[in-house]
Amino acid sequence: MRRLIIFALFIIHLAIPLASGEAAVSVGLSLDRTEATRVDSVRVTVRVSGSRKTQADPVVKGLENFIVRQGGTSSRVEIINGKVTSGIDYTYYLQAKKEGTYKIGPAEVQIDGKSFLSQSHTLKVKKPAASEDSRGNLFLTAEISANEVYVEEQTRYVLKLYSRTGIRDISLNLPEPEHLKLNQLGKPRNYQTVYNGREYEVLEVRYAVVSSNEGSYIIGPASMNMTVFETGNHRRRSVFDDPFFSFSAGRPISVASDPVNMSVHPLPAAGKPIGFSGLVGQFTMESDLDPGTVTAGESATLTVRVRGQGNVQRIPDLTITELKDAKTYADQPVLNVKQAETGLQGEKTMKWALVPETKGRLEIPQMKLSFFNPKAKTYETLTTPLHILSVRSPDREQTVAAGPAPEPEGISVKIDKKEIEALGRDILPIHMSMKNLTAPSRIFTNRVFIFGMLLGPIFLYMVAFFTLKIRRQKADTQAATRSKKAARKFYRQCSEKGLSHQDLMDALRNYLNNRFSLSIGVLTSDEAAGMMRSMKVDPDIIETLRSMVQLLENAVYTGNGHLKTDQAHAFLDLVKDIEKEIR
Amino acid sequence: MKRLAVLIALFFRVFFPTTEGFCADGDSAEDFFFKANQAYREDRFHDAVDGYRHLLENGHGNGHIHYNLGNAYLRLNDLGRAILFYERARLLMPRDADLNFNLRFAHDQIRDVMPVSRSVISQSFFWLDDLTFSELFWSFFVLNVSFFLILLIRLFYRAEWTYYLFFILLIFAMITAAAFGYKWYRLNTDTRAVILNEEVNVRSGPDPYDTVLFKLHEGAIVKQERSEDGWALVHLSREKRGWVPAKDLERILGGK
Repeated sequence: MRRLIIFALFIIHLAIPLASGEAAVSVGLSLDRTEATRVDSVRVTVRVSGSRKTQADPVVKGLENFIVRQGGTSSRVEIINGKVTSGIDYTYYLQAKKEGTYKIGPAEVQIDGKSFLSQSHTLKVKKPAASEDSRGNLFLTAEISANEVYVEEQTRYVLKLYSRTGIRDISLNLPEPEHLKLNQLGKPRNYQTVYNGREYEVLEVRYAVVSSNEGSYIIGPASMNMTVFETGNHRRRSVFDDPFFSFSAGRPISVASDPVNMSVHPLPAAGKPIGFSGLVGQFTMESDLDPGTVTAGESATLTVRVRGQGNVQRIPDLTITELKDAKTYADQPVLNVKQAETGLQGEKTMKWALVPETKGRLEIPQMKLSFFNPKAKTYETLTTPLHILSVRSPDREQTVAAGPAPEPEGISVKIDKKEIEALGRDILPIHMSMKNLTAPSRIFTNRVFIFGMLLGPIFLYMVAFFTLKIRRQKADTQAATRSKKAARKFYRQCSEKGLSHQDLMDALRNYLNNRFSLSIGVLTSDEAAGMMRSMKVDPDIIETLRSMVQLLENAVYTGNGHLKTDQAHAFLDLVKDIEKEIR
Repeated sequence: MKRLAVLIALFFRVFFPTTEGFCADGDSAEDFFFKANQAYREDRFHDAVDGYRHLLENGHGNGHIHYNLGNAYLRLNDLGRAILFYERARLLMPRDADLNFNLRFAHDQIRDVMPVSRSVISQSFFWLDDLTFSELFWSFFVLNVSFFLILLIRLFYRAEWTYYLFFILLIFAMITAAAFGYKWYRLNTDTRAVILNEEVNVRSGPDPYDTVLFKLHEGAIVKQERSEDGWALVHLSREKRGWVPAKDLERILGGK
């Protein structure tokens, strides 16, 4: 009973400050920067204090010229001079559609039927730097392989996303120009490159662009939306720069390419073959007749293959003219299209079964295929070779040479082949070359040599493995020792008199670096909280740490870092709590 | 420095012996080889046999000398010894076309039908017959070194290609290791022997008065189990088993 009373008193004790905190509701609006370019993402935080619930999301005025993305909400508990207050933060990310000076805010929040307004801020949006040299850490380029093309000619449209930061969740918005068809070529490629002396990760996507109509076209800007994770300030890239390890939330951003101009010319009228199918590109044709000799009534197969690069869907189905002494049966043509990196490639296979009815020589008519070659800027015509099918009568009378058209001279005569008859048996002669006198190697009589050669590599590997392991263990032990001493060092630093905000911030950063073997350059409240979250520390302690670090941040970044602070003991207690939690 | 030169010379002397200076009577190995070949060409096959045997006894037992000796014995109508030396030559140069042709010819001359029974393992490793012990050793050695080298690289540099290379090398190293081990085992347990006499009685015991179980003819290849007092226990199959005088056969590996 006594315990119950104590517990109830404790709950009341906690509830009173919370209730008193809720009574004083205030709404604040902050921007993470006051100047930005069109490619920057500006974080807007609407900070509601005194209440953890609102009737609806805040309404922020002045966002008509921005792309707005939700950045989520977060509840918080603040302890200021021992007074606990709670609140909720709404985060938004803005990206300006055009340059100008904009008034952001006020934000309006409805709580318990009452309306609360925040202050406003001014955001200046400037043009991105004109010089290519000064491109930022993230940009998108669009290139086209040829600006002057013919109707139905393939050209390559290549988008390259250059990044020097961690990015995730990339989505692409392609322009959809009228009369232009875009087909993706292969899978997107990832590679590293150097652009204006700076190293970038590049994501490259290729498209084949084909125009069905002549005219001048503009392929509008393509845009990519993604989440960007800013890397730390450390000079060297470490594993913690990977988004996976990032303790800061990603920020959504959109980048757009420049538009690309393209001029499409009509196919030349001069020299256009009759019945031209509209095939444009580079093509080859080959044909085959198999077998070359058949008995009347049996079938032979004529195969014609057209392959090349271009608008392969327009490869026409060739037709064979009717044969006087044979029946023809056309097979269904097969078209295989491949999205190669250089463009659309394809092969069309057409087959006919030829069944001759009488013996003799059957001439297979030649077939023609015309296409426009944009490289040579002329129409070209491909022709199959003249095939002759040799047909014998069913009673196996004489046959005539078959296959491609016969040479003017020479007659091939069929010879009856027989099994080779053995006329005698004997052995083959001795080997008399002096080269055959080499003495055999004796090394295989030495088992020590054999085992040495076979076990040597594994022995060397084991030596290397264990040496490396011992070294790593040593490094781990050093890190563990540093980790153990981190708290003690921090307690000692906190006990020193006259600590400034900056000193305390440095001490806390050093504690976290040593305790968790990190290399954080500049500590932020979000990073500190994220780190604690990953260690599964009590959420209340995390929130306390976040708010206390934020206070330090405010002091440091407002130029008051050198002033003395009385928070050292509060931090000391907090770190003690954290150490207990981690253990 | 001088010591190092002596050591290097000794190494080459032991592992890569030359053909010079092996004959006590002043004739070099080349002379013996030339004379033996000449004797063979002039149908003096006994002289040829003596010449080739002399070379073998003086450390020139390579596949070609065994092959030539087999030829010489075949010309002397000594089918047993011809097959014996052809089989020995085959262990040293299994893919030699002349050898395989002549060995087939010799096998065709054997009067006995040899039972063919091969285990599942030997059927799986049928291709081992076409590889020599040294070829398998060096293949395994190269793959073994490459495998541990890639493991070593992966200790410091873990790229994707090293992962795939590791698996490829692991598979090939395992195959060659198994093949090498099996070849080693076969060479060390090869008990095949060739019947050298025109006709040999196989008896139920190691005594000339024991019952004759069956007869074997020259060139027949049997498995020799053990020897006792000038007799050898041999078998062709489970049913065909018995004792023959040890002088009437010779093992392909290891001599009498």
